[in-house]
Amino acid sequence: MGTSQIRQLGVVDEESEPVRLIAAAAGGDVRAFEQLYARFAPCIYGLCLRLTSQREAAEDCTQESFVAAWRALSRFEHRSRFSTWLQRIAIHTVLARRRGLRARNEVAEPLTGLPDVADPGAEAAPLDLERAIAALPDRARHVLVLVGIYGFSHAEAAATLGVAEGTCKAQLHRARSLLVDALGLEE
Amino acid sequence: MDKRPRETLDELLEMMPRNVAPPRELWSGIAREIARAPRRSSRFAIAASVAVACVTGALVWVVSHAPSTPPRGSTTARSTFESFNEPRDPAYVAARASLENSFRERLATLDPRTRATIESNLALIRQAHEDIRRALADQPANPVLEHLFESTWHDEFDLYDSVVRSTELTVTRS
Repeated sequence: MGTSQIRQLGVVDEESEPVRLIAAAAGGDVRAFEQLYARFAPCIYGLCLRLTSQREAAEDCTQESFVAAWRALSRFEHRSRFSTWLQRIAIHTVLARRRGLRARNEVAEPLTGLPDVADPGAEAAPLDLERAIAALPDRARHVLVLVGIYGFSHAEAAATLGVAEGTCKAQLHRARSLLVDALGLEE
Repeated sequence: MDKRPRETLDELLEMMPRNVAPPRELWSGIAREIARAPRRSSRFAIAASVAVACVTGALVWVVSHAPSTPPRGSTTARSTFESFNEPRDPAYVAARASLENSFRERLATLDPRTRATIESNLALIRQAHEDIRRALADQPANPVLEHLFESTWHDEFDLYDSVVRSTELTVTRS
C-alpha cells in the first residue's frame, strides 16, 4: 500500500489501522492474521450475532468471515478501514448462509425460546433491547443493525444488503416502530 | 410499563456495545481451514509451475481444469464462497506472458478488421475485470462479483488461447 492511500484514510499509526499486520497477513503470515483475528473478532462476532440472532450461527459466520478475509486479503486496497472491509465480508457471509438455509428449506431462527443475544455489560444497553432487536423480522433487523448500531449510511447498507435505498429506509422505520412498541417507548 | 421518551431508542442503540467477545475459541477452526485450503492463487501457481515447462495447450488445461472448490474435510469454518486471486507465481506469470506474446504476434498477422474486433473485445474484458476489482474492494466476498471477477480472468486467457489456436494452421502453412 502506498503512503498516499494511508494518508487518504487519515491513518497515522498502527494502533488505529494495523497496516503492517495487514501487509504481513496478505503476504501469507498466518501469525499476523491471528493477531488481526484477535483484534477484530469481537467486532465481527458482535455483528454476526446481531444479524443472525443465533449464537452458533454467529460463531460459524465469524469463522467463515475470517477464512474468506484470508483468501481475499491480497485484494484489500485500503480504500476503507480494515474493520469496515471485514464487516462487509461478515454481512455477505451471513446473507449467503441465510440463502443457503432457505434453499435447503431449513429455518434460520430458533423455533422455540428466546433468541440468542449478546450479554450486555453493566454499562451497556438493557437485555430487553437486545432481545427485542433479535426478535425483529430478518430484513428489518439487518437494516437496524447496520444503520442503527454499526453506523452504516443508508446507501452503504442498501448496497451491502442488495436492496434499494428506499427499501432500506422503510425497513429501518419498520424496525424502529416495532422496537418502540415492544419496549413500550413513546411514539 | 413506564413510557420513556422516544429519543431514548436512539440513546439505547447508542449504548449498545459494538464488540462482543465470542463465547468460545474460534481461531483453531479458522487456522485449520486456512491450512487446509490455501489461497487459490497458490494452488494455481503450483499447477502452473509444472505447466510452464510444457506447451501452451497444457497451460490452458491447467487453468481451465483447476478445481473451483478446495478439498474440504470436517471443520467448523467452511467458507460459503470462493475468493479468486490472480496467480502471482513468477512461473505462472511468465507462462501467461508468453501466451500473451504469442497472441500479440498472431494478432499482427490478422486483417485489420478482425484485429480491431479482437482488440476491442480484449479492452472490454480488461475494463470489466478492473471494474469488478474496484467493486470487490467495496463489496468484498460478494459471491456474484467473485464469480464475475474469476470469469473475466478466464475470458482474457481464453481470448489469447483462441487466437493462438485459430491462427496455428495459418502459421504452420506459411
